Amino acid sequence: MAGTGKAHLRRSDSVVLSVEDLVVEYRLKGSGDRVHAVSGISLDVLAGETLGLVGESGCGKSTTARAVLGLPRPTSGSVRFDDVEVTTLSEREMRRFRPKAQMVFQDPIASLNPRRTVEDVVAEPSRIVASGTRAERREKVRTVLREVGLDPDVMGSRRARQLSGGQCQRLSIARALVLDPDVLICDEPVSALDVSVQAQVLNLLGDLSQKRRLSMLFISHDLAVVKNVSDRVIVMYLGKICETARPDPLYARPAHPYTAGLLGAIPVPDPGIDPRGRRTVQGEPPSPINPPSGCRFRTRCPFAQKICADEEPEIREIDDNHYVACHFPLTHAAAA
Amino acid sequence: MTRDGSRGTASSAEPERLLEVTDLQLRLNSPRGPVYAVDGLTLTLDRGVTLGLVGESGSGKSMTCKAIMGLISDRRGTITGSVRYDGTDLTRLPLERRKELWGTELAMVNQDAGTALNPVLSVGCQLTEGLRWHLKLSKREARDRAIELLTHVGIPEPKRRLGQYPHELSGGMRQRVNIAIALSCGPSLLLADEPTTALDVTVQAQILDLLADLQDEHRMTMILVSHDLGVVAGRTDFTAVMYGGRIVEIAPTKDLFAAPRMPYTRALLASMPRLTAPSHTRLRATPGAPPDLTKRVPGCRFAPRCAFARDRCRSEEPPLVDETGSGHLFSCWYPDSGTPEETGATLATSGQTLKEDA
Ligand SMILES: Nc1ncnc2c1ncn2[C@@H]1O[C@H](COP(=O)(O)OP(=O)(O)OP(=O)(O)O)[C@@H](O)[C@H]1O
Ligand SMILES: Nc1ncnc2c1ncn2[C@@H]1O[C@H](COP(=O)(O)OP(=O)(O)OP(=O)(O)O)[C@@H](O)[C@H]1O
Ligand code: SF4
Ligand SMILES: [Mg+2]
Ligand SMILES: [Mg+2]
Repeated sequence: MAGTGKAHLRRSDSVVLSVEDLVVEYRLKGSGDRVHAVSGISLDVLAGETLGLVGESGCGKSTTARAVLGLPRPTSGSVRFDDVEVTTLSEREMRRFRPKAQMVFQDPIASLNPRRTVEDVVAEPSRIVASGTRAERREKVRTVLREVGLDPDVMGSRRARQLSGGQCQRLSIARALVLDPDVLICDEPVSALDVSVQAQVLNLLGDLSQKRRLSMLFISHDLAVVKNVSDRVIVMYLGKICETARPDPLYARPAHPYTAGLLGAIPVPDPGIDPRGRRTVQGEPPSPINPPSGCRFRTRCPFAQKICADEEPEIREIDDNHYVACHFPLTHAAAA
Repeated sequence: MTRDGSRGTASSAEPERLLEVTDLQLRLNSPRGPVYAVDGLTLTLDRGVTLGLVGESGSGKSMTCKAIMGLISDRRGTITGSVRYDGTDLTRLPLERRKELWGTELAMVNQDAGTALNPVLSVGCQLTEGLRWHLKLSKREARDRAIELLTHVGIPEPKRRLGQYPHELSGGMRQRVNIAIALSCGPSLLLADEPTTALDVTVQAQILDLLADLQDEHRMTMILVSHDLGVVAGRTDFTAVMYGGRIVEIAPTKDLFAAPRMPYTRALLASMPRLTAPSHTRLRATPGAPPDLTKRVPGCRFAPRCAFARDRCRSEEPPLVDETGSGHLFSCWYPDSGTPEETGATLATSGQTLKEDA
């Protein structure tokens, strides 16, 4: 849409996570102004499905992901896990839910206690839940560490602050996986990994979603990674959804002007192509405190007309399972 | 390395050596004994050049940057070898002298934007500190300059951001504040450790354009650490590949991508997710674990995972040599074993079917 609507939501028994009209606003100290971080996001994730979430830096991806787990509590809107509304749960009741839904945070180093050993960091969640014997728990910890490519014999006794960036990131993935969650919320989970370790981790997550029907909300700026792991992708801009579709058609035929600009800026691994001066989204990002009226992308959109300032576009289906919120979506008739 | 003539305008100037790292070794103290995080690294950089640094997670890229900056305290580890910056060996300078160079001569963008900023100081405070201390700007001037810097890195509402604290910013905004701080005093050498990982591709392009402009205008030299091979391909003159604390291949970027010689480099390029491949294409991972840097074993560090390793690889370490005299250095006894496609296929976990079409 940068617009509103829920046309893209599905009615299915296998919906595991359902978010409707999520709004998160941060109050700024002093001025009383509010940051409109997330302004009416709706999404659903089926069992075993991976939903990719992409968009401009600062558009509210992390806020969406965290609000799903109640950190912070949303300003309004509904979040349901298996049909249980969690926004109204007390802190204690919410904790009961946490083992089912785990999160890998965006800043891996900042989110880990730097003085704990690697094995302790991963063991902590299962100690809190206290499932199985000590020996079983330890074995599970070591297995998960191996799965993310950290040798427990070499790394197990290290402290978190003695790890490289990518090792920290894998440590936080291991910690999130140790309790066998049903839903995994991954905020930039592979950004610090070289492509070969990244391949290993992504293959592992793919296996878990197939074998264990693990559902994932997967945030990343790496659009090739998102295409690879996702069953569906949502593109966000300034707190709103622009477009959502399955990855292959979305990447082949983006309908929203912002999506097209984003895809056009992906760096290609070919030294023969000079990427300089090829900005595909022009202009300055607008203020999240006073977002533009109508379509939030209009101040930078090459196709904007008067209606774009007056009316907020609603999400609608333009092709099978392909939804866009734009008054003048791009068509690909010529290209097809 | 001299700047590749095909990129930018700085190539017209006389090459001038800025950085000369010789046999750099960094031993970090750990409960299981010393960790050889950087183990015999040699490289030279001319003014205005960009070197991309890629490689295995944990192979020593960040530590190389920190060792060049001189950020490793004696308590954390020991550095041997030399780091000549503009003729001076930085490893021999006392801390006080090194500190004078931080910001104005050498600056670093840290990999983890979350911990690089001080959580209890406002953005404005952290951004103006260097400006006031090094450049002796007045409070007013520093503030104006800070707003300008935030605008350059594409942060909306820069004035308001000055009063905000790191936790009130998104991940990508924190990263851009770090970049703004590193650039604030106009460094000659920028060590940029994953500077754009938290940015969407359009903002990333804007930042990388900004850095390239600074290189053209002031002949700023840069080491760009990145896992994004697309970024490295388009934005660097030379690329070095690290594995287990060493450089295993280094070449003009064009040559490295066109004809990688060392099997690890080939495996790396083969694991890249491709935009041209359909969703859910199985990725090629390299089986096996990276070397344990507390142990020093003979032979090539990649041998235990290399599909082409023979006896010699396990007993003798291959030197980093320029076999053809073309400036393409690699360390491998049996380069070019198999085609790149075969390399990827053989390295993939046994029994997995590969669907990748690229
Ligand atoms: N605690 C807070 N107080 C005030 N504003 C906040 C706070 N946390 C986030 N914001 C603001 O909310 C907006 C959305 O931030 P969010 O972290 O969700 O973005 P994001 O999409 O995850 O970005 P990135 O890709 O850079 O990580 C930003 O404008 C940010 O500055
Ligand atoms: N304080 C420390 N004590 C002991 N070992 C350490 C310490 N800090 C880092 N290491 C080890 O040193 C090695 C090199 O780390 P470095 O951070 O340079 O890796 P990197 O190449 O930057 O990896 P990444 O791509 O994951 O960021 C790693 O294997 C890491 O585990
Ligand atoms: S055409 Fe109008 S509605 Fe569509 S993205 Fe542009 S400004 Fe928004
Ligand atoms: Mg974020
Ligand atoms: Mg690093």
